[in-house]
Amino acid sequence: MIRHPFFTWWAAILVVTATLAAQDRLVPLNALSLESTNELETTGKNWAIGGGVTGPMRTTTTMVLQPGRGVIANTAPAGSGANLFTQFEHGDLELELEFILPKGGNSGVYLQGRYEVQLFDSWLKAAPTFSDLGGIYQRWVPSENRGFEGVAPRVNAARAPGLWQKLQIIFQAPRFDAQGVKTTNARFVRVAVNGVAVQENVEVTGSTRAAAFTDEVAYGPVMLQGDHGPVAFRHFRYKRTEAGEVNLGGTDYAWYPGSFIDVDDLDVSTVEPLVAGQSDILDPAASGESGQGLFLATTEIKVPVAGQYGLRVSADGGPAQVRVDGEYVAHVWRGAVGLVTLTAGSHQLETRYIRRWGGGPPNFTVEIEGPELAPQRLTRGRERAESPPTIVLDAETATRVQRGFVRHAGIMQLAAVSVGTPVGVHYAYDLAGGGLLKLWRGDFLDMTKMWHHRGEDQISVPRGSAIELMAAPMLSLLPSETTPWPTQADPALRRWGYERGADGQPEFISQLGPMVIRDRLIPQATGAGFTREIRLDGQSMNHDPRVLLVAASRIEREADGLYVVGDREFYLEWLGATIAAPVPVTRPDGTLEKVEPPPRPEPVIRHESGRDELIVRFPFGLKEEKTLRYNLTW
Amino acid sequence: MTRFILSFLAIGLVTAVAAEAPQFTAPASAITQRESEYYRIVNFEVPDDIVLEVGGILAVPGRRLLVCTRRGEVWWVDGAYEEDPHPRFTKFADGLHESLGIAAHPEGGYYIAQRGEVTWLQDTDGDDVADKYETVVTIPVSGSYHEYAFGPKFTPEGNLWVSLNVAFNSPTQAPVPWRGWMMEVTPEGAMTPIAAGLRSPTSFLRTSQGAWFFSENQGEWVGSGRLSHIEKGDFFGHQASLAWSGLPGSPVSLRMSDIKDFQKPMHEVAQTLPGLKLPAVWLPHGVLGISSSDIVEDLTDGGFGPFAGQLLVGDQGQSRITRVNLEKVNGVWQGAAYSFRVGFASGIIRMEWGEGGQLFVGSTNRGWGSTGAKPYALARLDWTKKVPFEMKSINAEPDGFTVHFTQPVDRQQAADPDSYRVVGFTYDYHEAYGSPVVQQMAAPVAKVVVAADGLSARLAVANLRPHFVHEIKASGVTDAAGQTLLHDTAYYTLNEIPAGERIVSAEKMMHLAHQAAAMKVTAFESSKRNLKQPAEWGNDAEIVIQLRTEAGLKFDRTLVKVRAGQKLQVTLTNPDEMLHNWVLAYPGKGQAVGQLALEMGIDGMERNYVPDSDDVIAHTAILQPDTTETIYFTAPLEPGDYEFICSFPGHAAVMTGILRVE
Repeated sequence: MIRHPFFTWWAAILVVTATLAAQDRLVPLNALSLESTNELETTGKNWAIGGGVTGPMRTTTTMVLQPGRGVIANTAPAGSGANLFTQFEHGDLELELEFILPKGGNSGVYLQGRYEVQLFDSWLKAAPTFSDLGGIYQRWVPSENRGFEGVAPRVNAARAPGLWQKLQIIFQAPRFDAQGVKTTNARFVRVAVNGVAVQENVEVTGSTRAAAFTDEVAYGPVMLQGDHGPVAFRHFRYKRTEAGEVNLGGTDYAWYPGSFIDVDDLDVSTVEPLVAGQSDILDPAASGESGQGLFLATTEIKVPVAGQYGLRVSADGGPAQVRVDGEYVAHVWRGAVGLVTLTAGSHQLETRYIRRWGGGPPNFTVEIEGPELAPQRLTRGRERAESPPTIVLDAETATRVQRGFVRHAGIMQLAAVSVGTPVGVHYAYDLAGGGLLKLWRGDFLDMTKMWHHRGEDQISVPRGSAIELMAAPMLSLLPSETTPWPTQADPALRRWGYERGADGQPEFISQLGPMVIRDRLIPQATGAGFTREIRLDGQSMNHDPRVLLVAASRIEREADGLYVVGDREFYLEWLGATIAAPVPVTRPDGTLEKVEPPPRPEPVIRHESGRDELIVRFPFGLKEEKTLRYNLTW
Repeated sequence: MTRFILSFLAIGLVTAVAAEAPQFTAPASAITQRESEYYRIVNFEVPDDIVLEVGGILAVPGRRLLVCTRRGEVWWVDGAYEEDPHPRFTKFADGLHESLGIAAHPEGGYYIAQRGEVTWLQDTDGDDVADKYETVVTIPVSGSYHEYAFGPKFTPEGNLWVSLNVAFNSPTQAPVPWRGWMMEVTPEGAMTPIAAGLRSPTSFLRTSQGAWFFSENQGEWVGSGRLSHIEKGDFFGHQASLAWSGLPGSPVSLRMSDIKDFQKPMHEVAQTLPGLKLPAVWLPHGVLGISSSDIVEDLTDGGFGPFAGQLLVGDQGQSRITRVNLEKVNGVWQGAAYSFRVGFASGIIRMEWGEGGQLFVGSTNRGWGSTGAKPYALARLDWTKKVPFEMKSINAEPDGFTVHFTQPVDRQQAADPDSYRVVGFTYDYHEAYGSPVVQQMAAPVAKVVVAADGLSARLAVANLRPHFVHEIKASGVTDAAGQTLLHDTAYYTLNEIPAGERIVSAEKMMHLAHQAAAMKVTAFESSKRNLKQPAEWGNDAEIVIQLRTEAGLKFDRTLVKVRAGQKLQVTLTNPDEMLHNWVLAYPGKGQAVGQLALEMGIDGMERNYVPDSDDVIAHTAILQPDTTETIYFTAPLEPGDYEFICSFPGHAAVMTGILRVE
C-alpha cells in the first residue's frame, strides 16, 4: 500500500498550534534538569542553582536565591553577569519555561543563541513595544547605529514582578540547502506569555541585536540572558520536533447497528457486522452508516521512535475508546488522554465508537503525540463544514456580568458568572459558594461555545491570561480550628443573586441563617487587580463566622500585610477588618453605657488538608456589621 | 436602515418578476398570500448590533414590549404598536444564561427563567435598567446544552410553573433531578414537582377554563408534536425523567422499569399503564409543524378574528402558527388542529398578545434551522378585519363530527359526502426518535346534514376509532360565492366519543366500517426511486454522488455537476435529527414541487412527500435520522440547472441545491 504523508509542514504547524493553544499536552516534554548546571554552560559565576527565589521583588530588584534545586537564577546586577547556554542544540523546537523578574527586570530567551524573545518587567504597560515582554527583539545595524525588524507582542500579558510567569515557544529553525545556503528564514510559529498568544508566525531574517552568534546555522543552543540583571528560570521543558510523524497503514473497519450505551455493550466476536471494509485512513464515516451502532476500526500505526506516546480520543454523539496492541489507553468518559510506551515500528490501534445521538455526521478524533514528534491527528475524513465565527463579549466601555458555565480545575462550574471591567481586569466567580474561580487580564470573554449554533458546550472562556484559584466556599462556621474547610457551600446558604451598583459592578448577596453576606470586587484603576470587600451583617447561627480570603498550595507572608499566594502566582494585600460600633446600652437610670467594640481580627495562615488557607475569624455573637477588605494583584 | 431598504427592494424585484412571468411565482408564497389577506405579518426592523434570538416576550402596559433573548439580554421595545412600526430598543438587563421566558412580578419587576435559575429582575433606582438580579430558585443542571428552562407562568395561587427540558449527549437524559419535569415554585423559592415524562416542553399555559396544557416536540419517546393536558401526577411518556420519580415530593408513581420500548400506539400502551397521559391534541409531524413552541389563547373576544377562545400554537422548524379548538368530552380534553398562518421570517419561539388584539411573534432558529431562514425575527400579526372562510371549530359527535364554518356554506356542496374525506391514524410510542403515521385507515363519510343557517355541517363518519387522529379534509366545501376553504384540512384527536343521538343507524355505520377495513392498502411505489442499479446499464454508474444533510436544513453540497445522460448513483445520508429526502426537479420547479409536497397532508409520509408531478425527475425516500439510501437514474439530456430539494414539509424553501447538467 502506498502511503502519502498527511501533512505538509504548515498543516503540522496548525495542529501543533491548536494543541498548544489548548494547553493540554498528551505527553510531557523533556525536562532540562536544573538539579545542577550539568546540562548548561556559562562563562560567568553569576548563575546558581537553588530551590526558589524570594525577596521584595514587587518593589525592588532584590532577588534572594533559596537553598534547594530546580531553579537557576542570576542574581548579579545589570552589566555584571554572563549569559547561560543549554548544552543541547536544536533545530525545530517546542520550548516551555517559567521565569521570574524583579521590579524592572530584563532578560531574554535566544533560540539557537540567536533569535530573542524578550523578557521584561512590562507590568501594566499600556502599549507594549518590541522591547517588552514577549516582544521579538530588534536586529541591529552597527554601522548606522540603528535597529530594525522587531515585533511588539500583540497584547501585554505581563504579570507583576516577583511572580512566576510562563513562556511557550514553537520555533522553526532556518533551512539550508546542500551548499549551506539559507533557503528559509527562522520563524517563531507561536509565542505565548502566560498562556496568551503574543506572536504568531513571525519570520526573523537573522540574529537579534544582543545574540551570541551572528551567523545562522541548522543547530544551536538555547541562550538565557544574564547580563541585564536578576532573573530566575525553572520548569525548562523542550522537545526537538525532528523525528517526522506517525504513519498509518490500512484500517479495517466494521459497523454493527444497534442501540448501545458504551463500547463494551456488544461482544463483536459473536455477531457479523452489517458493513465491513478497509480504508487507507481512519475515517469515522467510513462505513457510510450513520445510525445508532458501534463502529470498530483497527488501524496499523508506524511510529518513528521508541518512547512514551500519548493518545487522546474525543467523539460526537456517544463514547469512544482507543486501545493499542490490545491494551486500554483512553476512553471519552474515563480519561480521554492515556499514555502508552511503544517500540519504534508497527502497532495496532483499535478504536471503538458508539454512535447513540444524531445531530451531525459520525465523528470521533484520535490524536497522538510522541517523543520528538509534534502532536498529530490520526483521524481523517469529513471536517466540519464551517469553522464557527468567534463571538466575543468585551468589557471595554462598560462592566459586564455574564452568567455561563466556566471550566475550572477540570470540571464545569455550573453556577458561575464572569465579570469584566473596562479597566481590563476580570474574574470568574462561583455563585454557589462565593469562591473566586479565575482572575485574568486582557480581553474579556469568548462566548462562541455558548452562542454559536446550538451552543453545545455552554461554556464561556476567558480570552486573557487567567490565573486559576483554588475554589472554596468563602464563608464557613467551623466548630474548631482543625475542622477542614468545606468543599461545598453550607447547604443552608441561600443565594440571593447580585445587585449592580452605579458603576455596574455586582455585589453578590447570600444568607446563612440570620447573617447576610455581601461580596464585591472593585477593580483598581491602575489595572493592578481588585479590591475585594466582604461584609457580614447579623449574627451567625452557631459558631464563629470565618472568611476564607484565599486557599492555595502555599501562602507566604512577605511583608506586613503582604502575602504571596501559591507558587508565587499572585499577591494578596490585607487592608484590614472593621466591626461597626455596637449600639450603646441604656442603663436603668436612662444614661448610656458605651460598649467597647471587639478587637479587629487579623488574617491567620492555617495549614490544613495539605494546603494553606488565609482565614479571618470574627467572634461569635456579634450582630453588628463586619467588613473586611483586601487586594488581589498579579 | 440599509437592511430595510434592501428588503424593500427585494420585494419590488419579486413583484416585477412575478408580473413578467407569473409561472415563476414561488408557489410556497401562494398560501402565504391568501393568508395575508386576513392576517398580515408586520416584520420589525432590528438594529444590526442586537442579536434578538427571542426567548420570551411580555406585553407591558403602556404599549411596550419586553423581549428576552438566548444571549441573556432583556430589551424594551417601544413603538411596536405603530401602524408602520420603527421600534426603538433599549436594554433593560443582560448577562443572563439563556433567558427563555418572562413574566411580570406582582410586586414590580420581572421573573425570568434562565438556565440555572428563576430570577427576579428589579429596577430599584428607576432608571429603566435592572440593577437587582435576585435568585428566586436555583434549578439543577448537569451542563448539557439541552437543559432549557421554560416559563415561568403563574398559578392562581401566585406560584410559578417552570418546565425543564431533558438533556442530550450524556449517558442519561435526566442526569440531575427534575429534568423532564414540570415544577412549581413559590415566590419564596420552594420547588415541588408536578408531572414527569416531558421532553422539550417549550411552552405551557393555563387556559381561561382553568386547565393547563403544554406543547411537546417530536423526539425519543414522542411520536409527533402535541398538546397535552397537564395535571399533578401525570406522566407524558419520556422515560428519562422517571429516574427521579422516587424522590420525596414526587407525585408520580411510575418508575423507569415500567417503561419499555413498547413500539405500539400510545393509547394501546396507556390501557395497561395507568398514569401514562395521552395527548389532548396531536399536531401531525411535518403537516402542522415539526417543533411546537409557544401556546397562546385567543381572549380578544373577536378582536383577532372569528376564533375567540381557541389556542394558537407556534412552530419553530416550520415558522408557522397552528390553530386548535378544544372541547372536553367525558371529562377528557381533545380537539382539532388546523393550519393558521405560515410565512414567518424565522422559527417561532414566543407569541404574546398586544393590548388591542395584535399578536407579537418572536422567533429564532439558532442552530436548528427553520423554513423562515432568518436567524431571528420579531413581528406582529394583525387581523385585517376580513373573516377568512375556514372551518372554525369541530366537535365530536356520537357518530362523527360537527364542523362549524366561519361563513355560510354553499348548502348543496356542503351536504355532499364526497366533499369530505376522513382518514384515521395514530403514532407509535417507542424510544426511537419520532414515529411514522401508523394504522392509517379510511373513515367513510356516510351522510352530511347542513344546519339551516349554513354555518355548520354534521358529518356521520364510519370507522371512527377512539384515540385516533382523524384527518378531516373538506376540499369540496365552498362558501356561497364558490370560494374554497382557506385551509381545508383539520386533525381531530378523538380521545373520547360522546354519547347521544346518531344521524345514521349503528348497523349502517358498522357495514361501512367493515368495507373501509377491507380496503387493501396498496404499498405506494414510485418509478422515480430506483433502488437497484438498472440492469440495462450493464456496467456501474459513471458518477457516484454522496450527499449528506446537515443540521439547520442544509445539504452539505449545493452544487453538483454532471454531464448530460450520465448514469448517476446518488446516496443521501441523513445524520440530522430531522426527517429529510432528496428530490430532483426540472429547472425552476423545485419550489413548485415543494409546495405540492406541503399539500399532501398525512398521505405525504407514505409517499415520501413526493407529489405525483411531472416536475419530479428522481427522489429518495424520506430518511429517518441516521439512515441512508442510494438511488440510480440517468442525468437529463438537456443541459441546465436542475433543482434538488428536501420536500419534507417546510424544508424546500431553504434546503435546496443545483444539479448542473453540462
